[in-house]
Amino acid sequence: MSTLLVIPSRKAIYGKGRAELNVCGDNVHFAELSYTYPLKLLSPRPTTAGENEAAQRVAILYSLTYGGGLIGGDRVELSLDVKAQAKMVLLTQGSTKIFPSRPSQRLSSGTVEGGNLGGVQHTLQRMSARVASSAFLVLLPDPVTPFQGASYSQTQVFRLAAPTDSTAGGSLLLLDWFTSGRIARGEEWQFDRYRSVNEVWIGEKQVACDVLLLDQRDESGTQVQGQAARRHLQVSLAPYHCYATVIMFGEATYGVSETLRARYDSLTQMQRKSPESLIWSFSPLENGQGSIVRVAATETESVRSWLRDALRGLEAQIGVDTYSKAFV
Amino acid sequence: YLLLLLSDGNLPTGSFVSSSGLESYFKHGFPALAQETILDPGTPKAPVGIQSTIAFIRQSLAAYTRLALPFASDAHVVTAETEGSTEQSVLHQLHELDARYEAMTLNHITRRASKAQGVALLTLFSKGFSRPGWVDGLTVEGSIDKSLGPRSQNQRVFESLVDAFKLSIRRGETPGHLPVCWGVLTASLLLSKERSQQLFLFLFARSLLSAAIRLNTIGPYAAQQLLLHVIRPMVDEEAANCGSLSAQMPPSQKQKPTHGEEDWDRLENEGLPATTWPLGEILAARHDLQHSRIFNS
Repeated sequence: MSTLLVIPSRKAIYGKGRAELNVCGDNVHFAELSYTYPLKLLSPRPTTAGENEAAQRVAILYSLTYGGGLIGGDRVELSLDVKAQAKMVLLTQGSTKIFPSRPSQRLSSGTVEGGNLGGVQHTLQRMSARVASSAFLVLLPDPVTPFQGASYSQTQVFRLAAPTDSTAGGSLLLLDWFTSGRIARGEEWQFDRYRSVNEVWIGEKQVACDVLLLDQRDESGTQVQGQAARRHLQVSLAPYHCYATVIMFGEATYGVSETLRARYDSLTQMQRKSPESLIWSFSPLENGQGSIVRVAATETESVRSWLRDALRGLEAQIGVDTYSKAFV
Repeated sequence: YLLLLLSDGNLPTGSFVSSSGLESYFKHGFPALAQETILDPGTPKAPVGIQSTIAFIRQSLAAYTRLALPFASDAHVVTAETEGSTEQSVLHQLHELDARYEAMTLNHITRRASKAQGVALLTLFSKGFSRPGWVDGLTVEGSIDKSLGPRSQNQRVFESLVDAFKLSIRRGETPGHLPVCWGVLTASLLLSKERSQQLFLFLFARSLLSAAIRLNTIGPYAAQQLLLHVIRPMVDEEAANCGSLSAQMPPSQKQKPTHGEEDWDRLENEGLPATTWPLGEILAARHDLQHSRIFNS
């Protein structure tokens, strides 16, 4: 049943951030690192001592939102540029909570920052990223948690340099995941809308365009003898409370991809009486240049530990210490 | 008459080897979750096999419509314009639609099934619907349908387009996905776009029921009842929801966007084709993991 949701009391806002990472000898540095409220970008100094050669030239970037969440009407845009041979790992500090718009916003909404659907305001996130040759962009954020009544749209476009005869292309590993809400409070798939677009280009070719649209689509609820009717998404996404997608392309991801492919090929599915608590799929893309993994589980923590284990091959690319900061 | 032909269960399209994820859904134990809302406690409750089959069809049909129908619609429009355009230009647009559908269907099982059925549809046009030369030489009481030929200019244009498209598929230049091929086929047969859309969805739903019968989750009579009483409103609703959607192709990629200036309006457009059932995606992609299976997908 619904419980009180306290929505942060501030106006909807438009925040922008930009980060450009360059290589300089054996090190990397940010040629640009700028942000406006409510977005904040932080880069701690990585520990590369003792790491192998491949794990040098790695920078961690934390993307934070003040208050740990976004409200309806917020708009955030992030632009990333990973220059040749640099490696950028994007992390967050805790899941991004998406609140519905404040009641007063809905009443007075006229023209809109972030889109307007009959009074409910979208929360909008955009990311555009460029990855140069032999560079590697790794996105390992915490999951997005849309609360009851929230409407969220996220669009991410990645442009990787294509491989040539003399140079390796850019590489990308992107994790995009979300949960069913405040599970501890019994909030299960109660948001209005969740939309996530991930578009990947290798050179001039669009190799992936994953558009996930979860719309509550409420018909007038039908009562079943006193129980609240199950909403559309509760039915279609059951029994899982967390869904994750990992999309990867490029040389730097071949190790991880190959390990997962081998693991997947060894699975055998027998007849089950009821669904298992975690389920995953693997599909190769672009003749092995890339792959997509989808995972769903009843517990967010199960997905988290599954991912931590499944993507451990990244340690060879970004270092053990850096990898340890993801999936905490 | 054309509709009757296209709905015939004997039509050689190869769709009978595909359960579109239904077999995997049952193998993974999901029927245990299916519940139908009971509107009136007095009415009889549907048996579990029927409930879960309906639950699957509802999700699967909605998801497939939202992703594939815009592509079938656009391919239809593009093909119908062949006479007013050049074959090269139409082919190019079809290739772009095809590549885009491939990029949006990130599931090797679905891709495999879609490509197999796609090229089967084109072969059907060339071999099953084309007017053979020997027809005009027949002397049969009654009439040969003169309205379809003999080999009118109109039909020759479509035959040439279909042959060219099929050739580019065989050469590996384009995948040849089912929704695009469906649009090409139905436009070449001069079927209206609306009819083409309705038939596309109906055939999808029907092939699911056909798979359900073979999986023994419902009986043949129950399947007919479903088709008449339950599936029809679903198909009508989905056609109404998504009939006007287009694949939202990006404008010609001649200029590279300057950094940071992506085509946000198009990507954030409400009508963009989308995956609406991620669970279905996972189950479909896991098809080959099944220890024993009777379907190909």
